[in-house]
Amino acid sequence: MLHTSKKRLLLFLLLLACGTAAGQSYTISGTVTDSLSGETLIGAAVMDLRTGKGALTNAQGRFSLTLKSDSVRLRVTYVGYRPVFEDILLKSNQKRTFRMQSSTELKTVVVKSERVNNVRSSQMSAIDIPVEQLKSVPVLFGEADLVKALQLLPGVQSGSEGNSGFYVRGGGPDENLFLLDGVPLYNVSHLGGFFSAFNTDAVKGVTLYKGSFPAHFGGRLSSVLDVTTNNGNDKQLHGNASIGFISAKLSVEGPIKSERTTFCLSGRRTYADFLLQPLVKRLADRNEYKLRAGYYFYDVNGKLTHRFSDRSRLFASYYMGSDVVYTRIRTLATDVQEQYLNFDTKWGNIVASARWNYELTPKLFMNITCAYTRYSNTVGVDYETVTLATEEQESATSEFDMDYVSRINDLSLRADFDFTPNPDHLMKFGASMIHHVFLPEVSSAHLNAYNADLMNNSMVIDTSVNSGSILAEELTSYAEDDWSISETVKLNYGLNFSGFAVEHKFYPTLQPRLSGRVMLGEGLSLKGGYAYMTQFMHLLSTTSVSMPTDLWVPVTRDVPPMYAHQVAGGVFYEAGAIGDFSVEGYYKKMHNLLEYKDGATFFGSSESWEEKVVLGDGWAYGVEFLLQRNVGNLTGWIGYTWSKTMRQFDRPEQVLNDGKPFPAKYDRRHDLSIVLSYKVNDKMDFSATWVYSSGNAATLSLQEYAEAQQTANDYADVDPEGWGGYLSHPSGRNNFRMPDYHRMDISANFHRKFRRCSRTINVSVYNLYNRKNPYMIYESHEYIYKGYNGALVQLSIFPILPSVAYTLKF
Amino acid sequence: MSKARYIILIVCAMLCSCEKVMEFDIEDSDRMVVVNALPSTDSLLFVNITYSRFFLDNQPFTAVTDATVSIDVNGTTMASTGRDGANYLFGYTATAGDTLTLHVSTPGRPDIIGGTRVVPLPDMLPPLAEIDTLQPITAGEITFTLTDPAEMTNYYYIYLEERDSGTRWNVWKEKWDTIDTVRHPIFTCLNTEITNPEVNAIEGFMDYFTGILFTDRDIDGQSYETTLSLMMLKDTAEHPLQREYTLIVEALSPEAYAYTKEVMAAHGMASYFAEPARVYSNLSSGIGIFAAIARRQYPLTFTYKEAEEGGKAKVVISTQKGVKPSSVSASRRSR
Repeated sequence: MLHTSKKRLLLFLLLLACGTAAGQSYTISGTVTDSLSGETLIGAAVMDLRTGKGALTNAQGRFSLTLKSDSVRLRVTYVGYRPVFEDILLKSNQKRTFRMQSSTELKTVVVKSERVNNVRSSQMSAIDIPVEQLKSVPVLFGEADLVKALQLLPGVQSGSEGNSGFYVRGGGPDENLFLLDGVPLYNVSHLGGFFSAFNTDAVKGVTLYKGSFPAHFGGRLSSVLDVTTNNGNDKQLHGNASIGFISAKLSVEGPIKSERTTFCLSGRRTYADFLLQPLVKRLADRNEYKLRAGYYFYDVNGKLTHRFSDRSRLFASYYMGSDVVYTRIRTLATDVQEQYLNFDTKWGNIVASARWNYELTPKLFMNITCAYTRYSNTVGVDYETVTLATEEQESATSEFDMDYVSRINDLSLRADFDFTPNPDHLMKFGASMIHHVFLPEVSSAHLNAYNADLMNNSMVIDTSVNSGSILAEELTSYAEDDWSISETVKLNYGLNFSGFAVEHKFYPTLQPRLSGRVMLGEGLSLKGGYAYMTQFMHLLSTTSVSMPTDLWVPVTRDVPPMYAHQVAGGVFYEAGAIGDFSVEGYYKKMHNLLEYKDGATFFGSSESWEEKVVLGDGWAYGVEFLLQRNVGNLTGWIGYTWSKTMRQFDRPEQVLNDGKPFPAKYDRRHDLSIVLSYKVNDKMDFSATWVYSSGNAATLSLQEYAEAQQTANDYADVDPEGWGGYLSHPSGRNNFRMPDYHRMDISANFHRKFRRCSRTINVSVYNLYNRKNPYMIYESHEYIYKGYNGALVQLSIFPILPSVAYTLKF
Repeated sequence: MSKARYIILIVCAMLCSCEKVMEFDIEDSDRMVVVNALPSTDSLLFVNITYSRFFLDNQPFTAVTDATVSIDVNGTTMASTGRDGANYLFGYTATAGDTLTLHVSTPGRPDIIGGTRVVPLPDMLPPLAEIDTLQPITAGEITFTLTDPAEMTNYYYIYLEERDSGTRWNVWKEKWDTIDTVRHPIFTCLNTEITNPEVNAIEGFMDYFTGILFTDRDIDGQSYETTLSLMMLKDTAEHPLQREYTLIVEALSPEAYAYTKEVMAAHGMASYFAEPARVYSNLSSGIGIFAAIARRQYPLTFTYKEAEEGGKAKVVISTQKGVKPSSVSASRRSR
């Protein structure tokens, strides 16, 4: 009986889902591409004007639209492109590739494209920013940076000055899922966080989710940044080269086999290490030693795309990025003895993936991805002494080196399916498995002393302290449906099941997701959403700056997963030519957050990382306002956030701040960003940003006290005033507020077209009015303040910084 | 091109970081009473009582001179016998097994109370020392065996002091002209695979000038041999031929262990990367520490003998106070 009931239920659900599919319906499926480059367009709208039914292209630029009528009038729209209209007599399933013409190629001054606005979508707390707009945001050293542009959005907070750290709705920097073509990246920071790992020349689309996550995303608590890279021009070879204040970039794309196989290759490298060599040499000369030192980062993006048929495509992507800091010091200690000191730090990601898209039926689209991700960081110090043989003594060498290594290797397999039974439903389902190998930390020391007098006379000490490799399996499956219940009501509901197997323990989680939209009138909608998110890995970080020593660690038998509940609601309004306006409120509760114990760091102890951490909870709430304009000559946005973010660690033996709640490091009451770009004509455009935020929280020890004198000797040895040793006594965590932060940046682009190429000169000024924003504060006794023989000193690192960049497109 | 690079560098230098004194509005809040006392088995007890100071104030700590201080030893109260500056003196030396409670009263402030217990010292065989004079960096080793008392958690702190020549270790010695004993750097310690692979998971850590702190978590009730590796430069032109060390073994009360560990962390390299944090205190209504330590000392004298023609250099090691001397020829180890 039960068996029959289940069958009936299944049948009912199938009928509910398929709905009109049982009628005389046909499906139009295909791809929307750029007419010149053949690049697929993500999020383009395909709509039948007669029925009002429509679909959006997915991350692969594909759509599927099932319609009843036998005669349809399709309109395809995409921001920055001229709409395409096509009449189709629908008597069978149809395949279409819509090639859209960019408005910039049309030489029209005003871009009056139809907008794919945020008002009608059931998704909330998600923002699409056109890549061209992100590129136009003025930034540090003229180096366009995707993540730093996103930091200007409401609900997204930056770390300290110039940092590409990301804090979304009260979450930590590790609670963001960075997807590069669907594959996670662990560390997206270059140069202490001043630049992100995403080379904007290689990026095609960016979507940021801050809440109400669709069920197909999982694994992080606070945000998903979904970055899609270019497939490559399928018509002809194109590229661009640019040179800026600190880096040079080259990007080339084109067909290998016309309209079948394309490639896209981008590379970037900084050259501050070359520029600084004279300074380094002079410093060394002054101190009478030989010195080589420098820093550089590079990244390479590569992608191969092959189209087997209209239904089948294969993508192979590769990303490699690394930061390298090196120092080589050679000192002549005596006439016969030389000393070498080498210091090297290197960190970076490698991502390699292969994806196969296949249209199983016009309504069912499949995407299979297998990927390899590796993140590693190493810190090494090597000290060597070489003594040459003389009449008095034999030659000898001694070498001492210390290394710190941390690494993650992931191997993943993922299958995703898009099923569009009818225009009222877009279903997504799929599953994935990731095999993780964590090597959280290995510290090793090695001493090798060798005397040439006797071959056997060598002393070797080799020691290594590590927490060992941790193997883990992460399993995920999901199903979601974006359901247009009526013209006014739309719902996105889904379930994500994730499990993490580690150290003979399995952590299963079932995460419901729900978001919905109700149209209140023309261009006005009300949205709400709920998301339960789980995260199986943590980032142990002790500083506000992205450091190579930040440690990615998995959940273990003793360290459970983090999880969060987030509810959000908001009003979205399409204010005509002014732009889109939205107000969103959210409340987020986070559990099992991880922090280092008081005084503990990654550094200098043989304790494993699990013994250095404590678990606690957090909560955040706030209101975000956004006015965004993507069309016309004047584009940009104004975003404001009021928020509060707290932490509490009060579990037994896991106490911080006496168990009392304290503000999170990036708890800021106010955040305001104004981003404006104005296109004067095809030859010139200007951009300006102004940001203001409340000061970061910091822990300040207001009292100092004498340290107990531990002595093994008689009382006579004890100095009544102590050794001068003292200890600091902070009254509480994050008990102090740094000064408010504000800054204005401007930039201008001057474009010129030549017969076969075009060039752009970018002139930008960072921190136009030279605001001395605090990067860090410290106590110094070199100053006198209010009668004290000491003062709090604020260090600012970026005063007014003009820069110029030259880009050549061919 | 070279000029252009210099211009860029000059521009960079002009634009680079700047610092300024920050205006802030923080009250110089009430000073706290700080009580520090580490009763030990080898010295008379004194209790150091001072006021804390505002963090920008780098004046010496002010002594609390009007405190009433007493200790209860196994239920018997003892009052302080006198005061020397901030130090309140007692005619009491700790004995293993004693249970101690400290009472400090200062006018207008709540009483400060703390408690601790003196734990027994482990049985220990005399230390043996070995010096390898043929290494470019002379390596020394001190091996000793301790037997951990069973069925209780024990905490140990082991370090080496050197009677200072006044020239060698003054880098680490802040008052070398008045205090002639300094901690000697210990290069590696017992919790590594090198010396005792069977117990390489001991909870502890090495700090090159503060010794080795560890618990008996992995050696509970066992007889445990361990070796300290030292690094000694053999440049006799700079350093004396005879060196005097004291190996000090301390059995810490849980309070002393927690305090020592957190003080080490507060002063160690790691503190530069960590959030400022409070150091452990077991005192109610105050800050500081009252924690007992059982201590034993092993004086060692290392005498370096230059190699005679055709012979090997030697280090003669003698111990004092009944500890059996040992003399080891200069040897070399090959691993």
